[in-house]
Amino acid sequence: MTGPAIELRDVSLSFSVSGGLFGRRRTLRAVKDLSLAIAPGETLGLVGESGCGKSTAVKMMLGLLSPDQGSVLVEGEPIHTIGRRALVRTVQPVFQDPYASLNPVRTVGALVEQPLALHGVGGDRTAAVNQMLDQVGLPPRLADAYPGELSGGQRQRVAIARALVLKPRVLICDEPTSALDVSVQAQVLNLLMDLRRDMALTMVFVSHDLAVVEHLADRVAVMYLGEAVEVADIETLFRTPRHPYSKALLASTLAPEPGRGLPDPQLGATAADAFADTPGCAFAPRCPIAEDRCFTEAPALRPVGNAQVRCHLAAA
Amino acid sequence: MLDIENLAVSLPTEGGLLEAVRGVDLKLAAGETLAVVGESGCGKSMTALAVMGLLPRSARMSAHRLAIAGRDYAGAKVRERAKLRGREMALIFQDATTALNPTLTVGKQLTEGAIRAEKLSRRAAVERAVALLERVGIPRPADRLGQYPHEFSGGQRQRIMIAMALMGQPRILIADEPTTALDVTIQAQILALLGELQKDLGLALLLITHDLGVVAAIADRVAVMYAGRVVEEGSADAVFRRPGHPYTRGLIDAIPVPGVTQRGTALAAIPGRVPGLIGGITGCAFRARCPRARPDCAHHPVPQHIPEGGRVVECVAPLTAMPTDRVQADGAAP
Repeated sequence: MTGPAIELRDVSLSFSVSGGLFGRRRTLRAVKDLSLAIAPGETLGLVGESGCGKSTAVKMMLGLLSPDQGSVLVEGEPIHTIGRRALVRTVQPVFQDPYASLNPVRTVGALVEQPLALHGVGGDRTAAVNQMLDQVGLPPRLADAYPGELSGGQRQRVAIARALVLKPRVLICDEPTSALDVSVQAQVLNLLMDLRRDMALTMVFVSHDLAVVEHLADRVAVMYLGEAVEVADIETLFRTPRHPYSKALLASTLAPEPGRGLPDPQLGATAADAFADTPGCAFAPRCPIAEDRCFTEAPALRPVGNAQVRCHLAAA
Repeated sequence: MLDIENLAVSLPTEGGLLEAVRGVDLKLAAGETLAVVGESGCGKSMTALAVMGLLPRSARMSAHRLAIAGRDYAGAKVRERAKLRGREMALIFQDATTALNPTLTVGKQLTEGAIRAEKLSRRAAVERAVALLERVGIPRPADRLGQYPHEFSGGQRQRIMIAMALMGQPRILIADEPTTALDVTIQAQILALLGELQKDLGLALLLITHDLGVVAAIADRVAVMYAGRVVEEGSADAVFRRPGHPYTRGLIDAIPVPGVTQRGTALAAIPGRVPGLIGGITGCAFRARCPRARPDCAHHPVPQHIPEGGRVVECVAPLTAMPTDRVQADGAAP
């Protein structure tokens, strides 16, 4: 197969949100004209702050939400033409909170075996479960344990084992280590990198942590209020961020090194407003370099150097 | 401003007594920022709650010394310390959404405490609230006193909570993960605000966090906690550049740093997990995960190395070469 493993083509999705008791309903544009293609074997990082649409984008890739406009393709097929059962054998998620995603009354072994049973996979399922547990670094004795007896890191390993036991080709990780302590985060990131190599996985890695994305993604899409504002390979984005928002995000990331002091992201105090329906650039109200036309004319994603940037003023 | 010696906190649980804080010493001067850093369950939040007198009712607390603004409250009733809240010391939390009452206007919430505690007139309290909201960066504060918390953004709510903490003109500010729930671009702004306020008002700032990046950016001194004890303490510069405890080293190395960590390579994870704190721990609590562990790590108490002014490393074999003539073996848990 040569085409993308997963592709979003000009997808948009809005939600109608209640404005409170007497407020009128308002439209929240969660994702707007988003196009992303993830090549087989590639890891795409999706970064941005809360409300930027990154989680909505991955839910569309998982078939959990359908776009209002545009299409989602999995290995070249429109996602809605792929049966649910076939889809989950191709694309699997790992979510942020292993506390919420595991049924507390089932043992680890049963949780990992469940997908095999549901898909009528024959053969020695116990052996398959044990092999999977071994692959995610859990000792076989934990097959009889309940999620409540495990640490956060162990639970996330169980969630990963469950996602991979059907041998999917695409793994979608939505903030997989955000609920974990840093020492455990490193263990889980190492595991994901090992599994990616051993199982030749295509990966979408959503995170608010730029350092983590830099460490394991090949390419990155920076999102702001539902739009991709910059798409570039990792080296390019981290060396020469071109969108003012990418620059602000990178500048705001605090490294564990003293003496650097506090960064000044040079952003106005205005908060991002997902309800604003302005004709111009969504970032203009916070942008340090915005000009008049940025408020009246929406920029398109365009090639600048070897990146795609949605900014009138970005230059190679 | 704050001088704590041998603070211990334990909580009864179904499995037995959980020793959340096992003999912690902390000192914090006016105008200084001390960061207490560690992972979940290390006792950092319990330490803050103990100082504030906000421990759960079932918790048991003891201390040799618990001096706040010059007076020792070690033997005093919690009620005595409760009187200091809002006045001598104030707390800001991670989540302003839950710390603010959604059914009261911001103006009401800001002024109510000062009116009651200081017998301030309504007008004087409103004046102070407006000045503080202005100070924390809320535009047109007088117009916004009548608004409810949900009418503000997350970053603004955090600013309002900071203003609320400052209403009683405290000298000690305890911030428990004050920016963890915020986006990174907003986090930088809130940390800058905390730093400015601290400088202008001469506040003693006790910052509780799990984020070493936040610590490196604003702390003067750092206390690294593990399993209920401070295992390393010193100036932020010394602790980050020359960590003495293998756990500190491990924490720093586990974080990928763009441009420094080789991309795609295995990160230096700390193996294993934090030990359970029920039933007590003897010897070094980190030894099961420590790459340098040796038999005498099980000895109790763990010796403290005090290599230079204000630096303490509680370890049998600290990483950097430290003079051994000043080793003290008084790091006893109570």
